[in-house]
Amino acid sequence: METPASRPISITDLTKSSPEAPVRFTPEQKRRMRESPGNKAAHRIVTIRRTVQLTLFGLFLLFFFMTTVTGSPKWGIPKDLFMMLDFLVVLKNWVASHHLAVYAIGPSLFILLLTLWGGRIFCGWICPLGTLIDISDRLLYRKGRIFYNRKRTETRKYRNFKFVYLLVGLGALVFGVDILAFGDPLSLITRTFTFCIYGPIAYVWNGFLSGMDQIGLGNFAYSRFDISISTWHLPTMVYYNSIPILLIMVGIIALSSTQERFWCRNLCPYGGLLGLLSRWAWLRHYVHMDGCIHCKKCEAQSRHGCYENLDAKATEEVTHAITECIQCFRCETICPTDVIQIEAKVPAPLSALIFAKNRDRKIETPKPQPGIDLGRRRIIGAIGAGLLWASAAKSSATNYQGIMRRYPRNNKAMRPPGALPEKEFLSACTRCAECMKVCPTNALQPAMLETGWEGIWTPLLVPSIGPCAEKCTSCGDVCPTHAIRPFTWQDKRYKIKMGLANVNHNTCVAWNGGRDCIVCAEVCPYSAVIFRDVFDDSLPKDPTQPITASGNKGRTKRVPTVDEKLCTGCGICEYHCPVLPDHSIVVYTFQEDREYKAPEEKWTDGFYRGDWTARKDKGKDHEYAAAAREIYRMKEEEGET
Amino acid sequence: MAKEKNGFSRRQFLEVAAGAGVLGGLYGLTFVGDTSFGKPRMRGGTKPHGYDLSVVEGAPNNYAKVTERAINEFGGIEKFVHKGDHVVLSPNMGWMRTPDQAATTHPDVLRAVVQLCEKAGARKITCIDYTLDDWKLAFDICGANRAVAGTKATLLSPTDASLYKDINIPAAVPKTMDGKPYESRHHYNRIQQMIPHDIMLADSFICMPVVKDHEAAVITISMKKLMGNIWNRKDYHRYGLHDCIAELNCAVRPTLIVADATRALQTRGPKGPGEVTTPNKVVVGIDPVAVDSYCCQFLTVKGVTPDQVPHLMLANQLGRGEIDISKLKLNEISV
Repeated sequence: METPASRPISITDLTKSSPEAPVRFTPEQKRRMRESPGNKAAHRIVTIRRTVQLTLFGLFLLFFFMTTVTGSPKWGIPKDLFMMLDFLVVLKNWVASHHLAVYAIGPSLFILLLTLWGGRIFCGWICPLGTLIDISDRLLYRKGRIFYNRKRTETRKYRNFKFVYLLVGLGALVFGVDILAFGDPLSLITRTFTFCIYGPIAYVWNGFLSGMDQIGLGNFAYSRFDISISTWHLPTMVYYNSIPILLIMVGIIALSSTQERFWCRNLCPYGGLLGLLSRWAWLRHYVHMDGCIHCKKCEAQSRHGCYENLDAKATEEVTHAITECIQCFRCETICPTDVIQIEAKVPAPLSALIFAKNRDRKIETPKPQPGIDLGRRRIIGAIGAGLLWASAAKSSATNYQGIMRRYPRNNKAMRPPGALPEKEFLSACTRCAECMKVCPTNALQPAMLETGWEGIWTPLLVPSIGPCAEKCTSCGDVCPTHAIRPFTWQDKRYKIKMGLANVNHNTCVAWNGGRDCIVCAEVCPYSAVIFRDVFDDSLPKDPTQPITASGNKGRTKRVPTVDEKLCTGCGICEYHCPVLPDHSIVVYTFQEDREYKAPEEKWTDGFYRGDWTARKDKGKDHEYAAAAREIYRMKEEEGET
Repeated sequence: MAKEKNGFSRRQFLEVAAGAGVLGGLYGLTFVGDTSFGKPRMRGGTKPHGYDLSVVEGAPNNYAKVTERAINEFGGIEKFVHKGDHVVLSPNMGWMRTPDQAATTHPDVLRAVVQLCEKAGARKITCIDYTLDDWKLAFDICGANRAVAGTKATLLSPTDASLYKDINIPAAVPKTMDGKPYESRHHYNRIQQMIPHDIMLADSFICMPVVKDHEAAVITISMKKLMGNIWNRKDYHRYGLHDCIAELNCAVRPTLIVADATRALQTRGPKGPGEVTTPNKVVVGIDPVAVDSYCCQFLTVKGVTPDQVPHLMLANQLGRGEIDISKLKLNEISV
């Protein structure tokens, strides 16, 4: 523990630079500084920033919980608005799946211009993951909190990892392998909230309600006040892989104990992208060194460790890295002598900024910038590594039967309706899990290795957990990258085929043993399961007597068969099949049909989607009519023969 | 200057311990399931006028009158629905089929019963059917929404397990059958069954089936109708429908049965579409076996007789009701 400053400093002395560093203030000095803070405007801006952060985080939560199955987007608001503010998603979707999301251009352009003006304002003010890390920082790591760590380092050693990750990811995108989705902040937080927030809340709440029932409060409320607390239960949602995804989020928050916002400074690829763009930013930090007392508060407390060389003995010039700065305005607030000014000025010419460390040309820049410490070799190396990774992944033999033929390799790996063909789907899906959040039957689940390494956490339709509901079109409506294209329920009936139901004759209680069970035909909304009478001479004629050599042989049984034309692979028959745990009517991806033309989007869809449901239907009536006519004709022919 | 502490202070420890205790308690509550078995508390039915069944025939535009007359002939709704009762109706409304396709209870019949219950002073009327098709569309297409519009009744499709309560079926099943010991299919927790909370707590439970052919259970009238109100249907199909239906009927005893034989689905039941005939009758009783045996005569196309239906035979042997129509005291009227 350090001793307090031996030499008392009066407030008038503060402008002088002191030889000892860092300076410790006496409580009296601290009190006086608090009474007259150096920069009231900066304090006000910090308050505004906190308000904006909390408001937008609340909005994010609101949109997250609003993302449920309803007919049309509520109030015309696209529920994936936050996803579209993340233009890394748009960019990688464009590069990897060759599909420019027109509707996302507006929000992306907004963030792009914001970054070009003010640097990484998105990271500091908007990003919900950043806000979550800030909140947890305040709750866990500040002075007096249980995980307070006095030795939070401000090392700049890991700072370039985010650029390396970004470059490797961009390299891999060229061949359509999307590794950026795992670190993309909006995808990450949406995914975590879907798998790890809603489910446990519902679990604990429902447990609380059944506890109420157990002590008799439920019956009391029901008989006395006509309140059925059973109806207060939240629908239970379960997901595969929720533990690894939770551990990633816990790790991100735990890393903050070594550095504030460890994830944002060192690992976030979107932060890296915005950091590269922010080299053009106008909003800069200007440090007037003549008033500096070298207290090094800004260097130690800067959220992203942007300041360097503030020591009195430092030989090099003081620098502030705009690529790292997230414009949180803390440095201006905490500077005791008010020498840091944040101002928006027109920056130097572009050439000067691109070659910031250009040694032969002395061009004046707003403040000396530490260059991004990536040599040309490292940049080329990182992109090369990405290319190598992607090409190795794509030439893997496990894909031979699958992706190269545009279908998933696993014949049980059904994709949601409206999904792009497998190759494009894998590169377009950003693993944000919005579709799994919105699925009313809990049928969409994150894949583990069912579709190979490339398909981790992409949505799969798992009918044994829930069927694809007949009139539901939610996953197509919420998908931010249109990896699942918008569709109507008629599309699902007449055009899209997720798979085909198959009856296992060995385990079906009707086929094997001739018992009476018609559940699959009862539940099928497409009337695709048809029962036929089959004569089976291995069954006893009189069920109460055994078969003998002389007689009592053979009777007819009613058995299910599937009409290939009518079946869409929704899996409701598999869900309801009474044979457990391996159902005897099972949907496989045979006859899967993903050649489906999505409705055209407008560029305004990112902001307002009021007429969406009507627009999805437009101009499709004659197509449905043709398909319906064909099915009808086919059924008639079948009936005649 | 206060000395900075390493690690926890006592206060912090207590705070953390209290927080962990509260969270642990909340978590512990999640394990407190309903382990107790239940018994429905619905009122048992009586035969006020001494008839076993009352059967009324009428014209298709007159189904509401027919229903009212049938109930009045049997004894009047006041004997079954008391003032301030919570009444649960169990009509058939689980299919996306129009009323003339005969897969669901006719909306006129449903509306007549709901209005009678209101008149008798029911506090709360709930119509429950656990639908297989999407309930929003099914209620709309089969006319149930129209039938209860403007009345006190609400429609409910309990599609979540949390809306159900365990029911103790083995306790209600007789231990002997025809003098021989009988082992229940539900015994030893082989099949755990749940029925909706509302039915468990109802004062009066009125079963309102429609007469239909069934490709698996031969017929589906009042006995099979109870399968529209249970959670675990899969086990029933696996272990054999007929035994399970008969035992379920020993445990759940409706206060009144209003069988809608105004139309009868003759083939491709229970969903149809199939051949439809119009017997134009409403059958009221309290004995499900008697009602079902009587209604078998309306299934003319396949010519079903009660002794071809295993669950009727079994329920009769278990003493649930009378299968022989000739022994019943009938009250047949035509309006």
